[in-house]
Amino acid sequence: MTAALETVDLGRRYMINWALRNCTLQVPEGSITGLVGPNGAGKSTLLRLAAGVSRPSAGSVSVFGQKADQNSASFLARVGYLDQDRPLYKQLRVEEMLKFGQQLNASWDQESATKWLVDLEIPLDWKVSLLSTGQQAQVALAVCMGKRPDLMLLDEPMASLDPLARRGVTQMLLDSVAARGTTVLLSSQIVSELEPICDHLIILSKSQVQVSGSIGSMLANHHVLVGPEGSMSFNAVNVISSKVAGRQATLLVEGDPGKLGSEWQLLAPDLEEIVLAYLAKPNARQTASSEVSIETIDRDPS
Amino acid sequence: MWLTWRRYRVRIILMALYALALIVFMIITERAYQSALSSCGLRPTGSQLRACSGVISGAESHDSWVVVGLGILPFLIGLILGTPLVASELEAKTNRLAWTQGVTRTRWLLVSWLTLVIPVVIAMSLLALTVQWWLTHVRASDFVGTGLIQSNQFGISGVAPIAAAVFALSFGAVVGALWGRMSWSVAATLVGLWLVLGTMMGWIVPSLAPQVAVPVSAAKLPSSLGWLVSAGVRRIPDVRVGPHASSVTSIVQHCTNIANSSSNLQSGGGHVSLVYLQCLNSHGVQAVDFYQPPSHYWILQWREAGVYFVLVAALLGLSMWLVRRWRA
Amino acid sequence: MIEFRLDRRSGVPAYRQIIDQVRHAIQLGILQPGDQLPTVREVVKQITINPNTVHRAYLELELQGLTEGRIGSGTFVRQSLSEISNQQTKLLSQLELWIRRAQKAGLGAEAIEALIAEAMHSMKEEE
Repeated sequence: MTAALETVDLGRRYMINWALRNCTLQVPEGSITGLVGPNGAGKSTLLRLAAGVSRPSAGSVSVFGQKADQNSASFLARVGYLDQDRPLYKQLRVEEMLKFGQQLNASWDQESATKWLVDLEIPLDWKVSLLSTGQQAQVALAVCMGKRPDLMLLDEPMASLDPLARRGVTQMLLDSVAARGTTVLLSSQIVSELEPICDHLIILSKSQVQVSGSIGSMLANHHVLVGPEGSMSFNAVNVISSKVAGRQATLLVEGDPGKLGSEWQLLAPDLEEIVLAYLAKPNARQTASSEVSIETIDRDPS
Repeated sequence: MWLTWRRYRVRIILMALYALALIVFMIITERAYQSALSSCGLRPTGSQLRACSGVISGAESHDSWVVVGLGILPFLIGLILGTPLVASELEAKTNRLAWTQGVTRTRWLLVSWLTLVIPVVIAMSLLALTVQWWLTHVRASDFVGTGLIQSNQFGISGVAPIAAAVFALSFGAVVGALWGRMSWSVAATLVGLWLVLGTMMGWIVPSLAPQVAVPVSAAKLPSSLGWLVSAGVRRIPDVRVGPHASSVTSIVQHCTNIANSSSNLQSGGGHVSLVYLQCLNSHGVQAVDFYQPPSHYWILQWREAGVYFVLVAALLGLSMWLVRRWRA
Repeated sequence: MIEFRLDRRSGVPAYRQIIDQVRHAIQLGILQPGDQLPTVREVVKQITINPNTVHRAYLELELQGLTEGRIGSGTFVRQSLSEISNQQTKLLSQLELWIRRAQKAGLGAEAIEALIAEAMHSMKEEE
C-alpha cells in the first residue's frame, strides 16, 4: 500500500520562523484526508511543500514514492494543486483558462471540465476578472481537476463558495475518488464540512502535527469521561482536555481508560469535539499510532 | 507557447507597430531625400545652396530621429517583454498555477522566452535591413562617404541591433527572476541595460578589432575615415627618442601652455590649434585620433553579435537556475 | 434500485447505516436475489459519503453472505438468499400464531413485548 503522500520530519522555515516543523505523516492512497487547524498553523505550507511549490528547509516530502519536484514531468502529471489565493490569469477568458490547462498538461479532460463549469452556470466567454470570487474559485478548481491527477492538494477549496457550489465541489471530488481512486488532501477551517467526506484527518496546530490518522480509529480511541472532580488521574491514557464546572469534571482522553468506577460516565465524542480539544491544547499529541484503514478493495467497474 | 503569446500579444503587436512606424518613416524620408537630391545635384552652388542646405539639415535631423528611435528599442524590449516574463508571474503568484501543470519550470521558461524572442528577431531583422538600405542612400553630414561607420549608426545597423535586442530581453528576464517584483525589476533593468549597452558601445566593441591611429593635422578630417573612437597623443613612430627626452605628459603640458598663451582661442582639447601641433611635432610627439576603419565594419558587427550571444547564453542559464531554485 | 439515505445525527456510523438499509431492503423485497446493488459511484451521487465507506459496507455485506461481488460487473444480491428468506417467512408465520395465542390469553402489545424481552434476557444468561 503506497502512501500517496509521505513526509519525514518535514519542515519549512522563513527567516527564523518555522511555518512547519517535525511533520511526519502518511496520506494513504485513495483516501480523502482533511487538514484542519487554525490560521497560520501550517496547512498551506504543508500543501505547498507537497505540491513542489516550496522547497523543504528540513526533512523530505514525497508523492507516490517520488520526491516532490516541479522539475520532474512525471511528478507534475500526477499532482494537482489549488492554491489558497486561486491564482488565475485575469485577462484570459474562462474557456481560455481551460485551454491553458489543455496546453500545459499531457492528459486533459476538456469535456468534463467544460461540462462541470457549464453545469455551474459559469459563462465560458467571460473574462476571469469579471467573475465573482466563488466563480473564480470554481474555474481554478476546474483547471486543477481537468488534468485528472492522482493526488489532489486543495487549499481551502470550499471557502467563499455558496452551499450549492460547495455541494458541486464535494460531488466532483467524491466522484473522482469513486471512479479513479484519486487521493484527496483538502484543508478547511470547518470540521463539519470535512466529516461527511473524509476518512482520514490531520490536525495541525502551531506548525506541528497533533493528530494524523483515520477518523474511524480516532473516534474509537477517544472517549469523554464525566464524573466528580477530584480523582482525575488515569493510567495508560492521554488526557487531552479537562474541564471543571462546579463539582463535575469532563475529560477528553485518548486510549482505553479500563475499568471505571460507577461514578464515571463513559461517552463517545464526536469529531468536532475531538478536534476542538486538540486545538485548544497545542502541545497535546496523539500517542497511539492509528492504523491505515483503507483496505485494498477491488474498485467498482464504471 | 500559446499561453505566452496570448498573454503578451498586445505588447508584441505594439512593438511590431512601432518598428513598422520606424520603417515607414525611413522609407518616406529616403524618398524625399532622393527627390531633393535630384533637384539639387551633388555640388550645389550659389542660390541653390541655400535651398539645398535645408535638405541637408533636414536629413541630419532625420538621422537623429532614426538613431534615437532604434536606440531605445532594446530598452523598450527589455522592459516591456523581458522583465515581466518571470517577474509578473512571481508577483501575481500565478507561478503557483503555471508551475503545477504538466510542464517543468525549465521548459516553461525556455518556451516562453522563445515565444518572445522569435517576433523580436523578426522585427529587428526587418528594421536592420531597412536601416542598411536607408543609410546607404541618405547621408547626414557632407554629401560624401558611405557613413556606415559612425558610432551611433554602427549600433543600429547590421546584426548589432538584433543581438542587442535579444540580449535586452534576456537581461530583463533575469532581473525579473532575481527580484520577483515588477517595480524594482523595471528600474534595475533600465539601469543595467544602460550600463551594459553603454559599455559595449563605448569600450568593448571598438576594442574587438585593432584600431588605426591617424595623426591629426590642422585640416578638418572628413568623417569618412571611419568611427572616431578616441583621441590621444603618442610619440612619432620611427623617431629616435633620446635618453634625456622628457615624458609625453610633460611635453603635452608644455605645448598646451604655449598654445594657450599664444592665442586667445580656447578650443576643446587643445589639439586643434596649429601652434600646439607644431610644438608637439618639434618634440617628437604627435596627436593622433584612433579609428575603426570602414573595412572593419563586418568584423566588428559579428564579433559584437558573438559577445552578445555568449552573454545571452549565460543569462538564459542563470534564469533557468533561478527559476528552478525558486522557493515560494 | 435502492435509494440510500444517511441520518448523520443518529449516532450510527455511516457504513452501518448502509449495511442496515441493504438488509432491510432485502427483507422487504425491494432488493430481490440477483439484483445489482448501486455502484459506489452511483451511491456517492445519491448521498455525500466517502467512497471507501461504501466499499467497507459492501465488503461486510459480502462477508455476511448477503451479497456477492462479480469481478467486472458489480455487487449483486445472493441467489441463495431465497433460502434465508424462506426460513424467515416460516419463522414469521410461526411468530404470528404465537402472538394470536398470547392475545387470546389476554396480553396486550406491551405485555407481549416484555415477555419476549424477558425470554431473550434469560436465554442470554444461560449462554
